[in-house]
Amino acid sequence: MATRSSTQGSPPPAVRPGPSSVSERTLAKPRRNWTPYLFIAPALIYLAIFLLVPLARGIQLSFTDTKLVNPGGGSFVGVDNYTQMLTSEQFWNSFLATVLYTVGTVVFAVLIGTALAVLINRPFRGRTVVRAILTFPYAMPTVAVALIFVWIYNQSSGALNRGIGVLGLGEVGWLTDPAYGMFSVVLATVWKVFPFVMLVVLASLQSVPEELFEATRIDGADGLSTFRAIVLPHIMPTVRIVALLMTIWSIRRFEIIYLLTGGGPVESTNTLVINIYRQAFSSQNLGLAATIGVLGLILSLSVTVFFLLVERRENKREASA
Amino acid sequence: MIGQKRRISTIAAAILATSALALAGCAGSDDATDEGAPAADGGTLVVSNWQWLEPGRGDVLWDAVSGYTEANPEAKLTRSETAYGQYADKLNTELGAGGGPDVFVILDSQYATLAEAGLLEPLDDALTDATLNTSNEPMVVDGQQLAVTWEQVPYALLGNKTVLDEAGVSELPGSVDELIEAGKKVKAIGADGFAVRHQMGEFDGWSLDFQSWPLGFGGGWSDGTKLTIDAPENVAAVTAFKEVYDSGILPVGDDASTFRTKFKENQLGMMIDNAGAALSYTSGGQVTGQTLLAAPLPFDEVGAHQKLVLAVNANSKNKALAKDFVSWFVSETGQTAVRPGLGASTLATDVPLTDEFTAEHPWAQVFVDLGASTKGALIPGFEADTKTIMQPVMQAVERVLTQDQDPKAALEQAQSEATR
Repeated sequence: MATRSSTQGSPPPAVRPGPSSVSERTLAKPRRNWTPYLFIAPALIYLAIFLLVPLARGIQLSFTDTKLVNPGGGSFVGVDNYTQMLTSEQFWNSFLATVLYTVGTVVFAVLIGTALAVLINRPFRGRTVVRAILTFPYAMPTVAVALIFVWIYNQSSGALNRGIGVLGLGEVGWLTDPAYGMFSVVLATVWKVFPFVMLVVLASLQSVPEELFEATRIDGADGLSTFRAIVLPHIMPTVRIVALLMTIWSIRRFEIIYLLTGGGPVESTNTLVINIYRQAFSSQNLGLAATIGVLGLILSLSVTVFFLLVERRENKREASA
Repeated sequence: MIGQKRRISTIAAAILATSALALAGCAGSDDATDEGAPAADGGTLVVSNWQWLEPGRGDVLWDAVSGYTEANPEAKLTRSETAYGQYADKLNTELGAGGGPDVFVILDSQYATLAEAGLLEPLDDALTDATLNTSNEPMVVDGQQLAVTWEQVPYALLGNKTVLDEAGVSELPGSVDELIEAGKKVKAIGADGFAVRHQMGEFDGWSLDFQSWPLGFGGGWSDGTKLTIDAPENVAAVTAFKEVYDSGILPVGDDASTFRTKFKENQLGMMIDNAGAALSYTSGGQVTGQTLLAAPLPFDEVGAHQKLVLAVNANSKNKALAKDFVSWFVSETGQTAVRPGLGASTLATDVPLTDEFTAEHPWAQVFVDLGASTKGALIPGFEADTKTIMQPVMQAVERVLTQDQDPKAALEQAQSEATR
């Protein structure tokens, strides 16, 4: 403001206005402008109230024996909950179920989503309709998806068993046999989430310059070579990010697993999140539930750090290349 | 500069004020002893019950309790509805946080937890004129009545007469072997023979329904002081359940809503269910009061009953009005009003079935007779921990069903896990 008043009425300066001398520039106290902080304050307060406070409360709960019906009345128990969890066979089964579910979901969803994105990126008759149909599962409410799959998987009268019955195969307990429980849940989840991968990869594919494809055609490259040399390097950063997101979402996914199996049969789909729900609501033990939540958070953070390290290594490799 | 500082101060003050208001809104009230306005002043009571959602019966029950507004025209009732599967979890969370409905119907297992946590309002001053029957006695804690019976619903064997007649089953079976035999006859005509809950996905319902099996075989999960999960009688009960599961008469994979619909639509011959559910089968389907059959469970001993109780939220801001509602509920007027909706269940007072109801629902008398001797579903001596204990128990039963684990070994494992 001072600068503006000092130049009022003067001819336009030949140089940028500023402190008139070196001594003035060095002696001037740095002015702290609070306005930007005030603009971001609402967002920070929102995050503090709805993210950091619950997170801190969750971590604090994990060191107590708090019960659901008396959330303010727990006593400090130190690391007892962590000791109990880390020495519990059920927790490690639950951890393994989470890893299996996550790996299965991410691998199949990324593979199917990417393959379909490549397919529907090519021009063909009815492409818009096919894209719409393939996007449909993602638009469906998860509860509806779960109900449909419960009907499909029903052991005595489900569509799947009726179908394989025609082939002369016996009844399979898709949701009641521990050998098939996880497979069934992963299949239903992949059906629900692959369109997300497909859409994101498709967006990435559409930004590949057409000239590159023309160049490969002129060079006489076949489809597979074009995919490996042009498409894959271009979409890999996107695929990595999508895989990271899918991994985090899979670790914390609840509703479709709970609605299909409730964590059964025989604990085979009792992932960490289902375990949290059971501890909190069936056993009313908020302290133990919070402990599993913190351990799950550590798992998510570990995966994220791993992905970021891979991403950085890839970036460095590409830069050096 | 001064103008800018003032503007910044104003924005900062506004943000702080907004944050303070938001946090104040999050804070709960500590005023749990306030009775609220006198009942005569009226107000709005939120009444919660999963049964409001039951097809046919829900509206009948709501109309019945709405009769309270005739006794107290200043009062207004609002129904709070949550599906059975989520009801207990949602209510526990709300009540634990100091909120929740003013009046609610809960299962006795949930009652035990809430009573232990001090979240239920003593009702003695609202019950001075009531003639409560013995079904209310388990809800007296330290001399205070913390809830009254909403309904006590025994379990019995139900039959669909239309289906059984077609299959040539003349009467409901009296033993597990006869049950399997009859179920196979029904299966032969293309319907399902017999159904009960059998999956962990329905843990709350299954763990309740299953109580009748150990009790029916003379067992139980405790002797009042220590857990007896692996008792021989319980092993025999699980073995019998496994025989039925493996016999081919059970529609494996069907959840309760599916097999109940099948029963109503003449696609299922028999099931074990409670009196409340039995009444709901006689409306909205092909089953009528005349084609619904009931008989004692096919075991040597009587089975269990579910007890649903009516309680008042200790943190309610309308406690006086809520207690006045309970007072009306246990009065002759209130009990007579809810009797048709609650069918053959035992109520808080001894209200007989009407002649009209008995004529329309001859099956109901079986439940009335059973109601005198059935046992509660809470584990004696471990009432508040019933749900927690039932987790390893039902997981053990699930292993027996799906992995062919030996029933004795499975229950020994459950005993070990539950006592850990």
